[in-house]
Amino acid sequence: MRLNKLYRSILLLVLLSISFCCTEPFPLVTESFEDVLVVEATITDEYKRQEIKLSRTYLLESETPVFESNANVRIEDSNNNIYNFSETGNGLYLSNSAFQAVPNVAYKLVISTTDGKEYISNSEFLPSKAEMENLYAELVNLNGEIGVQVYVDTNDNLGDANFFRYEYEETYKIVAPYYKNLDAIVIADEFIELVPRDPGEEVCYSSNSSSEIILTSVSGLAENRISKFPVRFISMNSPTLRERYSILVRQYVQSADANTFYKVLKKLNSDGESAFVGNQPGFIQGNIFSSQNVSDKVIGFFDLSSVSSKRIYFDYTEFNLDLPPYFYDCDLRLLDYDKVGSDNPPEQNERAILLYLLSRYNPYKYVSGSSSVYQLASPECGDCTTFSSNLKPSFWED
Amino acid sequence: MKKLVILIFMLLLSAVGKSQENKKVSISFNQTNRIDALIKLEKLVGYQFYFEAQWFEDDLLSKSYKDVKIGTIIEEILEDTSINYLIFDGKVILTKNNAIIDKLPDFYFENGDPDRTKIVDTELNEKTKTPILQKQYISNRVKSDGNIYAIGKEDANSTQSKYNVSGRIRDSKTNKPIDNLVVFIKDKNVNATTDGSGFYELEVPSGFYELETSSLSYGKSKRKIIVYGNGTLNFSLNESAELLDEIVIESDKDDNIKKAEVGVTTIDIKGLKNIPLVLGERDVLKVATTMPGIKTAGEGALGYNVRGGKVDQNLILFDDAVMYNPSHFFGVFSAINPFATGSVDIYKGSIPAEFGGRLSSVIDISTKEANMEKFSGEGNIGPITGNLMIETPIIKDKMSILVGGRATYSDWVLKAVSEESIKNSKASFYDALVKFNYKINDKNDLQATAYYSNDEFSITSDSVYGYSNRLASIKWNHKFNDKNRASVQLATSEYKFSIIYDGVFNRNFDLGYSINETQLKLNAKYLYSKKHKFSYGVSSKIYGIKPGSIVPLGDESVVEPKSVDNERALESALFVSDLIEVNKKLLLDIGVRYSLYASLGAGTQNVYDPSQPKSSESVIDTKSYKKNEVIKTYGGPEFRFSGRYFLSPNVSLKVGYNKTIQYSHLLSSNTTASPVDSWKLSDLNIEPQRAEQFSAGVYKNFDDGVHELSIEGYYKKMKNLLDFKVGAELLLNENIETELLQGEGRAYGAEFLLKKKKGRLNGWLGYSYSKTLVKLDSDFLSNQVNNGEYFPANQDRPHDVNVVSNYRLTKRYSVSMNFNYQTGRPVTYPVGKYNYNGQEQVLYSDRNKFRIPDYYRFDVGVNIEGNHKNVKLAHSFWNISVYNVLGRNNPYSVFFVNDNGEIKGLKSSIFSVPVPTITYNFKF
Repeated sequence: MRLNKLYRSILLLVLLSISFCCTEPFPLVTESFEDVLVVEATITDEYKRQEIKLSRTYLLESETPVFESNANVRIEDSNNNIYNFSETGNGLYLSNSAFQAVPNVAYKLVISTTDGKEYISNSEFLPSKAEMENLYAELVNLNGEIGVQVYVDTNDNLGDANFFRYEYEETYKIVAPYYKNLDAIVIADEFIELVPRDPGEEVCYSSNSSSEIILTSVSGLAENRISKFPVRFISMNSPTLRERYSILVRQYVQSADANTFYKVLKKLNSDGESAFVGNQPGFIQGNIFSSQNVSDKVIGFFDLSSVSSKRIYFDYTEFNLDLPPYFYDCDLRLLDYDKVGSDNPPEQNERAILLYLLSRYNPYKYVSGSSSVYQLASPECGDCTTFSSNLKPSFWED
Repeated sequence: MKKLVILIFMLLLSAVGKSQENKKVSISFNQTNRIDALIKLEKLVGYQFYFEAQWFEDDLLSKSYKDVKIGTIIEEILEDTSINYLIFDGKVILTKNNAIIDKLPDFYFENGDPDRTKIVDTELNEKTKTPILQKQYISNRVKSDGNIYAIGKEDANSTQSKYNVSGRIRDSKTNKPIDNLVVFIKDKNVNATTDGSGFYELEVPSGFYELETSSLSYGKSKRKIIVYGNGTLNFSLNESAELLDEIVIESDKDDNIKKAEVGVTTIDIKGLKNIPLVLGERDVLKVATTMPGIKTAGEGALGYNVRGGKVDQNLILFDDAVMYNPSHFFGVFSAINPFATGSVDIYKGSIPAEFGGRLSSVIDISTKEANMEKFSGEGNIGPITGNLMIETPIIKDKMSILVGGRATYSDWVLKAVSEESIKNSKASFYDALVKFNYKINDKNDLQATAYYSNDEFSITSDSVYGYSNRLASIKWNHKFNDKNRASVQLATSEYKFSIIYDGVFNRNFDLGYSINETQLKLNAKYLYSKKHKFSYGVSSKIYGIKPGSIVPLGDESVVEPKSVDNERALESALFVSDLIEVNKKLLLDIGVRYSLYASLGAGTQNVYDPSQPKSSESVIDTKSYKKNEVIKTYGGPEFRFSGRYFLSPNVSLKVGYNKTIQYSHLLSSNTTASPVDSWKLSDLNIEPQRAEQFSAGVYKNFDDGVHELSIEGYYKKMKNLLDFKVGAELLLNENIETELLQGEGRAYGAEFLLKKKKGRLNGWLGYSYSKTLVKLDSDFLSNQVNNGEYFPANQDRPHDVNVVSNYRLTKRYSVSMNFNYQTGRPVTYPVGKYNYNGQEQVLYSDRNKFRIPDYYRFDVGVNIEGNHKNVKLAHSFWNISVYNVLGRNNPYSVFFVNDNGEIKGLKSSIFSVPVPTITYNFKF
């Protein structure tokens, strides 16, 4: 029996060595760098100042994006309107006036960069509109992990709308678990005094935007509508569910070409499901070309899209979940001001530690106690503004 | 010489009395053995007989004599034995083999009778016929020493100088006759090859010689013989014991220099056991990849790249049926059962005209003929798989059957693991085959094979992949007369794969793909004359593809059941070739194959506007076709030419030209093939691939065939190679042509091979230089790759070095090692990154601009034979191998993933650590 067990583990090891062990990360080094213009341009049917982002490729080992400044950006339509864009910083260009894309009009993007190059997109049209009908959340078990899944339904009259892209922005409330309305401050480097505290450090709101490409299409589905399409999964252990949670989902109806572009982008980015099979990567040709030399690379797709969006709110209690953990492990310290031992070992000198933890370099927050014994908590647990914002978003509904 | 003369004189002195003593007697024997007969005679005549009882066998005589000379009676008793006699001075002396010559040769004192000298073979340069005495050759050796075989009975009166030595050679284990065994007399230019029944015949001058046999599977054996006269020598050879040493690729001596074909590799199955193993599996096709010109994309890569061809360009035949996927578990194991395999021939240069339908090569695998004589089998137990093959006659020497099977026992191990992620993963496979042989009569025989293999694996917990091969073939060989032979083959094969996706959301599905083909082929040979040997025939193949059906899984699934149109096509060919022996030096093989392909309905095909890139927007017409309506035909002549010219008896020069057309294509958008890549037939929008290859080579054998050297070169042009746009969706795509890019290719290279076929140390060294370039050009920017210029293909790995060797330490122990070096595979590597949609993305270089690091690997293995007791249940041996001893982490692929918005580079390798395995093999 022992032999059997030994044998099993050996066999397992061998099997693992084939199928699982051998994918490992390696540091990325750019062997030869190609500097290419990157265009992110999605013009929607919303009446607003439309946005276009221009940036450039950067080194693999680099962390900082490179923005394209001082470019001349404009959109021309088949009704001979020209919409000029101006740079507002960080590669973001806003249209000088608000406008919206309308059906049956051809739009074309023209960009001239400071290095004298000109890029022109193909003419694109606004795809049909499709309303998002439902946005809702359900408790699911995703591959053994329990959590809340946010789904989208569209109405069943999609018309020509076939391809959908989703973006979401989640916003969640944060309540610092050890917020007290008193603060302990150090006076004259020696004494501790309790003072009233700013109430704005208790409740905060944070937001995250989707970073993955979420795509779906009605082709291949039995119904001519999107039903129960999973947009976002939040694990039951996610701190974002600790307080009230809100998600805004934007649905972009896009053209077949735009869909292909995003699909390939997504595919090349999420390859690696198997160590044995690798997709052939390569340059993803968009619909923007250099007007001087067609073989000059330019990345991006000039995309017209009709948008609809919805927002929902929920609490973890609606799903009968346990209270999710906080964002940080809270370090609670109970220290005696009167305990002044020798500095060796330093643990014995609790007053020194207490004063140190309350100093402005290390602002632990007061929890309880007075005169002699104080309880302190790590800064993030007593003050949410250390990592979030206490500005309540204008849309927020409690 | 002096001794001899004295002996002869001594005998002469007493010869006088012989005739007087040869009196007449009457005697009768009834079912008496020879010894008893001699004793009876001894008593009757009162002479003393001298002989050894062990000389005689127990056969019985029945005869009566009346007034017959004693000499005649003795002569008749000794008939059919190798015993001579001499009646001398009231004594009868029997001798084994030797004749005691009682007088000098007639021409002892003179030049001899002119008539007699004439018949003495002058070639032997012997003027006199001398008596043969063992003493002359072996001093102080006991005459019955088992190592010396006496052949024939010396005839004192014979002047014949050469005798006929013949016999049958069998395998000592299986008792099967050994054919194609070379039998020769050492230091004499006398040799023969055994025929199908193991029979050989040699003309040997009398005297003492060493009779040697040499074969690739049985190695060398020596027997000391003394030839006294015509006689037989039957013996058995043992494949194991002293013959461990052979790792052999070419099985027919000198075939490499004799045949007309260029670029043919033959794998010897017996030699496989001496090559280090991966995970305990002997692998016929993996050995093939150690030969120049045959490569894989890496460990765990599916398929083979032959001379710069793609993996779908090899016609893999398993007993005449096409095997679509010859591998298990992503190519880590081969699907060919090594114990049941008889021969593997790989045609990478000249492809015989009877084969067609693939661009690069034909890998012709034949299972072995089941043992017609007795029940036997072979098997092994390795760490991952168990394998057993048994064969048995049904009617002895007429009908037999072979059954083989192999399976993993890995699945239950994975299940036993508590770790959730591993518990749900799966990796199992099995394969089985049945082979049936029936020798109806001398002119007809029949063979049938059935094969099935199945794989299942899952890497992520929500999807299960499976694939299977199913093959069956039947072949009837008929011999009309000595000049005409023909065979009829019916072969069918099917390849299937499925993906079952069972995630959480309502998008679960079950997808299935299958391709099947059935071929009827008539293949005939007409030996018109020594100069012209014709092969001709006709074949027709029908394809059926079910490209995929997607079935929703569960009630919740909103996936629409979808089924892409089935595909059907007919591929027929007519072929003829003539093997022309112009003269002894020049041999030509001229052939042509005319193939015709028709894509058949029912189905619909899009017609695209030629002024636009093919896309759903450029469709100008959609044509519908009724069942069996011809959608499109393709075809053309495929010329096959090769020739050999002997520059010297051991050196030949060969050239070849080969044209091939391929009508079915593997759709793969991956850098390496995967088992769930589907096949697609040529249709209105997909043209067949075409190739032409020119090859030439010089072949030399030296040291009496111990060493073989060859250098070959080739240049290949290819047209309509299939490739795809980046990120192409190939599965269940009805308009696959919109993702397709068809381009040109060219491949060229040189291959060098040096083999040492015999001796304690043997093996081979192979090197190949090969380049494969592809050009994907178009008037449309979206259909260009690398600006429409030539770039290295995925399988382009210029340098490839292989050393395979085996060293026999003792009869029981041998060690073997492999070394392999290859240039790294080309990859498309990031040349920068950028932000898009709030996420980091990678900008890739031009396709295949970079290479992954070079590949090298070193393996060692030890074979330990079981003991050599005569009586035991089974012959067995252990194999201990360590794969990748150096622990070299050979990257198989590099890829880049987005992890929380940030790009990470990952590299995967399959065996990054030394992998030791121990396998137990047995044979009975």
